[in-house]
Amino acid sequence: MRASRVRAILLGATLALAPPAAARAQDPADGGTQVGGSVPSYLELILSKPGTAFTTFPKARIYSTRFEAMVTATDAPTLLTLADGDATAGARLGHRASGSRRLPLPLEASAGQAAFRRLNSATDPLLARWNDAVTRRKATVRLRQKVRRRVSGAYHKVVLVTLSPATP
Amino acid sequence: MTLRRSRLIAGAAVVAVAGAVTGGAIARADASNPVARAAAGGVSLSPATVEHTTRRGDVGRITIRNTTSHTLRVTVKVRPWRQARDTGDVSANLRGDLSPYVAAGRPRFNLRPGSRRVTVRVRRTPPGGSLYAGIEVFGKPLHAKARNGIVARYRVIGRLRLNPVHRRPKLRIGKVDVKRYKRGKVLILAVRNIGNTLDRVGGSTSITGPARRRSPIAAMTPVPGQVVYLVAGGVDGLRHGRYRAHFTITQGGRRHHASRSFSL
Repeated sequence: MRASRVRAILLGATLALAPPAAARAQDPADGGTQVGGSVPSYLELILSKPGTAFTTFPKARIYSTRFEAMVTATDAPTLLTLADGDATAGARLGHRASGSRRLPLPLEASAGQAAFRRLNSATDPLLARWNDAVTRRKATVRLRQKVRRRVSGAYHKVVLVTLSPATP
Repeated sequence: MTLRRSRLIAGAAVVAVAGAVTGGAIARADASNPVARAAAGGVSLSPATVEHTTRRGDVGRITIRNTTSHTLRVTVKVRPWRQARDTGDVSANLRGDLSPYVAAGRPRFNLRPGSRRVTVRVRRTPPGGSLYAGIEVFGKPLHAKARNGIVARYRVIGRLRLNPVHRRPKLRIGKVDVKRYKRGKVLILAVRNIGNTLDRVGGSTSITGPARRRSPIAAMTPVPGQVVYLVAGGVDGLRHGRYRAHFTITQGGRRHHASRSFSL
């Protein structure tokens, strides 16, 4: 009886430790057969929603918010930039607006620990650059609005997040 | 005894099933993790590079996927590249539109969560017989409300390479200059790609004058029609005076020679 009990425990332990068939790793085949494949080049940009309230500016101070950008790119190098989606030139470029009113100071953006750059510049601020292929690489985009004095109204801005290759 | 044995076997079987389920759960958790993280949603483009020899008609298809929970108004346009002279990095020139030459089969459509294939079609043979451009996929959420004052829109840019049937690599070598880069003072040479190929341009430099120096030229890939600054080595530490630089430039198997004078 003791022998059968030990056998049963061993059987149970073996079955429990054995991983499911699908998850079991196969030994690599040898004998000259090369196993490989190719996948089409791929670009993906995922954006999360901005976290904190960034609409009204009741006090003179620096307001900020952030959102996440997740990037997948098979062809390196890859650039992540941010641009004003409302205007391409003129006085409104980079400035948050509420109807016909606009904030005097432009919106600023940065990614990670990099310095903030104004959105009203002629070139789109570069947020991040990846020199290797990346999969769901996260970049935290920080937005900052400096306010010198109290302003009324709710201000909005359309931002255009661009993912593009750096080489032609 | 029979009862006790069957209990033991049953216990072992339960442990085994639990192990299998746990293993499966771990495998599933690993597999589903990206999906859970993708809940924020986005836009993807595949293939990110469409390459074909130039000819009229369909030259490729791209798949645009919307992983957001909203319907997107998608616009697909082919834009010329704008190239930074010092780094060689390209960005799509949003003021340019190459639709007379090449365009998406359906340039504007609403895309519900899911994917759609779009054909890239050459309408007219581009001048020079080649075309290198960006495929701009712009996604605008329909009925999107400003969340915390910010409305984010997506722009993913792929590459279109329409290679020429008859290759004509050609360069115009311009002026030489000394510029201050992050790594110090460097000698730069402006070159314009006046051919129709996308070949890397590199080579070497030999500087003669009050001091001598040889250095390789870091290769860059100028887009046809664009100018880039080839960095022909650092000049920090060279004595002041008048120098002559002899350049050997290679592009697509062709070799060009040029000499330029400069002062330090």
